[in-house]
Amino acid sequence: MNLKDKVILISGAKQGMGLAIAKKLKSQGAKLALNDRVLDDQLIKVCQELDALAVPGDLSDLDNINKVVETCVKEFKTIDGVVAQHAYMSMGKFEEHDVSEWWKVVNTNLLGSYVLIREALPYLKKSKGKIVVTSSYWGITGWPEASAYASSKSGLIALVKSLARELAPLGINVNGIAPGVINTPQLLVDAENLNMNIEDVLKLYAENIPLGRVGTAEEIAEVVTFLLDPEQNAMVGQIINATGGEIRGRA
Amino acid sequence: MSTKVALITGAASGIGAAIATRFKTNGWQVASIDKNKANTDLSIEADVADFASVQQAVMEIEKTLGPINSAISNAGHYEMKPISDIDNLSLTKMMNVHLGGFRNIALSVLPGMRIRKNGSLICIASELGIGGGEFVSHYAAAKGAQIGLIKTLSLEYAPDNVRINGVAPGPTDTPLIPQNSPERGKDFLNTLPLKRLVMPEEIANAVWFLSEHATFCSGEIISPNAGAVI
Repeated sequence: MNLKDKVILISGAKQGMGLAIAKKLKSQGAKLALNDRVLDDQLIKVCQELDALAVPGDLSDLDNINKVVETCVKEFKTIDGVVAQHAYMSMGKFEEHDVSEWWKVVNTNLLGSYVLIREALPYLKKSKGKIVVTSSYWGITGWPEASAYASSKSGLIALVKSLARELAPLGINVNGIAPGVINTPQLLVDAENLNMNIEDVLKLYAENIPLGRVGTAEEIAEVVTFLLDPEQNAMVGQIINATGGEIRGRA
Repeated sequence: MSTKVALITGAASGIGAAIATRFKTNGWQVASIDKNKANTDLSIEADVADFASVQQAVMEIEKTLGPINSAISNAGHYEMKPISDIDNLSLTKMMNVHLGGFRNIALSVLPGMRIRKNGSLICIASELGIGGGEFVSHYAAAKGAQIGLIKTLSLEYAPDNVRINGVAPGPTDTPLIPQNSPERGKDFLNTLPLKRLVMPEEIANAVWFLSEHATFCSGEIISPNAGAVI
C-alpha cells in the first residue's frame, strides 16, 4: 500500500466516516482536499490537524460543485482519487415525507456525487485515479420510512456499476461501499428521534448485527483504503458490504 | 510462538502461492495443505476432499506452529465441458474438492477459533459462482454452493468474533488457465472492462484485506474480477 503524495478529495469530511477516512489516508501519506458543506470552525480545525486543504461547498448546489474541484486542482494540480461519501439524511412515511425534503436527499446524495465525479473526471483520466462511492446497506435492502435515502443510495450503486464499465478501459477503478450501522454522529440524531440514550440505541442496533456490535468509522476507512490501493486494480464496479454480517432487516 | 499462523490450501501454485507470499512477507508463519509440496513453513501433502486427512493436518499444523489465526480455503480445479459431457464422477469430484474441501477446512479450524473468540476463514470462490458461465456448470454449481456456505457459516460464527468471508476472483493469470486457452485471447480479454486477466497478487491483496483489515465484513463476498461480473 503506497498512497504517498496521492491527492485524494473527500466529501463530507469534517466528521464521522469522512473524518476517519481522512485520518487513515493521511497516515498512508496522501495529500488531502477535504470538502464539507461550509467552512466552519470544525472543518478548519480538521484541515489544520491533517495538513489538508479545505474545499468547502454545498454539494446539493449542483452549479457550485465545479468550484470545489477547481479549488483542489488549483492547489495540487491533480486529483488521484475521489471519495464521494457525503450524505444528507431525512426520513418520513412515503406519503407524508415533505416533497422538498425528499428531493433534497436525492439531490445531495445521488446528484451531488454524480456532479462531483463528473467535474473531477478530466483530472482522474490524466492520473488514472480511483473513485470510491459510499452507498449504504439500505441502498441494497431498502428501509421503511427511508424511501428517499434508500433510493439515493441504490442510485449510487447503479452509478458505480455503470461508471466502472465506462471508465475501467481508461484505467480508472470505480467501486462502492455499503456500510451497515456505523457509530457516527448520525446515531445521536437517531437517539434523539427515538427518545433514547445513545448506549441503548447502540444496543438496539447491535441486536440485528451478527458480529454483535455496530461498526466504527475507522473500519469503513479500512475499506476505502483497500479500494484506493494502487496495487489493487482488479476491483471494477464492486460494492463491498461492511455491515457486521447484517444481511436482512428485522423490522 | 508469537507470530501469527495462516493455513492456505492449494498453496503450491497460482493464487494459493501468491496468498502464501503475501502472508510470509508480512511476517506470518504459513502452513499449506496441497496435493503437491508448497514453499511454506510447513507443507502437508494431502487431499482437501478427504476429511480425516484435513483434520489430521490441521492438528499437526496447530501443534507445530500454534493456533491458526487465518485460514484460506483455496484448493480447486477447473475444467470446461458441456453439461452433457459431465458424468457423475466429474460432478462429484468437483463438488468434493470445492464445497467438500471448504467444509472440511471449516469443520477443522472453526472450533478452535470459536474457543479463542478470534479468527478469519476465507474461501476462494469464483465470479462464475455469482454470474455463471458457459460450459462450467459443475464448477459454477460448486462455487455457488461455497458462497451459500460462506454466508451461512458467517451467521453462525460471527457472534463469537470469527469472521467468514469469500473472495470471488475473475479469470486470473494462473496455471488453471492454460497458455493456449481462449481466455488468454484478445477476443475474450476485450469482453472484460479491464481488458486483462486478474493477477494472482490482486487476489492475495483482497484476501489480506479481508483477513486483516475488514473487521466489519462478515459473510461478504468481494470479487476482484476485472469487471467480468458487475
